[in-house]
Amino acid sequence: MSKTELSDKELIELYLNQDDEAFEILYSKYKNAVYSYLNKLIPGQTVLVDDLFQQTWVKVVKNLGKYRDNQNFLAWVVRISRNLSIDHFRKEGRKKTSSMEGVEAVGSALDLPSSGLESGELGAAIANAVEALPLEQKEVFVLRQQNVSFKEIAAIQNTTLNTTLGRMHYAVNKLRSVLKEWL
Amino acid sequence: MKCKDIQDKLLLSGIGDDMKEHLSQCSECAEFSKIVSGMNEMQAPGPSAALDAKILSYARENRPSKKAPIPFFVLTAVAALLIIGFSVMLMAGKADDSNDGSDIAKKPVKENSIDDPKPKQMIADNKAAAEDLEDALDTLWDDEIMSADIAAIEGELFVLSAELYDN
Repeated sequence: MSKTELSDKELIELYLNQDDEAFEILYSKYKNAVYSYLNKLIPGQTVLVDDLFQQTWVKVVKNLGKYRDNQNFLAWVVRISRNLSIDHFRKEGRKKTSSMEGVEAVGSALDLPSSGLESGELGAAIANAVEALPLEQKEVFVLRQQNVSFKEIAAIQNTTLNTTLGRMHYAVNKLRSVLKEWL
Repeated sequence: MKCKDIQDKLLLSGIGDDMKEHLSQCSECAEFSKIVSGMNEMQAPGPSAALDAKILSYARENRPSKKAPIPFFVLTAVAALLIIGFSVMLMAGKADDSNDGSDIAKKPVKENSIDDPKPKQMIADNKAAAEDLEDALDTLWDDEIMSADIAAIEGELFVLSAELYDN
């Protein structure tokens, strides 16, 4: 059996038992999802995103010994990432905090140049429109893109499954109205 | 099926055969479905190779040790401290009850009862027990569920305060 077929828990066990390759596989599996989450949460601040991404994985490494199998690994990493972002903006002060939320007007968000990272015009249009969503809705949307289950998202946001589904509904319906011409 | 049910199903399990007819007739649900499938088209950007190398190198050099389960003696010590603390409180209560009050009239009333060495000693004992208990709890505090819950509450408060700030 190849190592890439192992479960996250098995990969963590191997890493804790001196197998560096196991961590590389685990990291490769989730790095884009975590990086994308931070990028959407804090748009246009690559240096900060890189910094928080690095801090996230440092914390993941430090705490891997405590990881429990009863939670989705990506959700666990995202939770760390989210808390680090919150800590960062709390330290930076209220003025910068508001920039984290990315709650700019929908129009201005649509004017943002496409990052060129999305494939397909609709995908790019959605990416830009997503940046205009309120933080909680954006978070649900971005995490769903990474295939984090609604149940896990509810746990990350410390809310109920219904609220999470409701936020997704709001997000998709807002995008519908913004992206009318694309649909 | 109602639109809300269709949209819930779309979110939870994608397009199913049972909803195709509805999607062909309902523009709202059709658009909803396009957004949901369109979001999967977006490719996630990744970190730079240099950042990858930095993180992997950190992981190689800082491998944590497996977290040992909470040692039995720590749990025993916590339990023992709780029992001792509780017993001291009970005994102190009994000592006060055994005083029938007959000598109260003979004793001069002290201005400051803290001068009495017995309560002073009890306060010191309780304080020491509380400190020991606090140390033991600190050890347990590391438990990820406790800290994750606190972090989650912290996150919610942050979102609430950000909303208030906006308004």
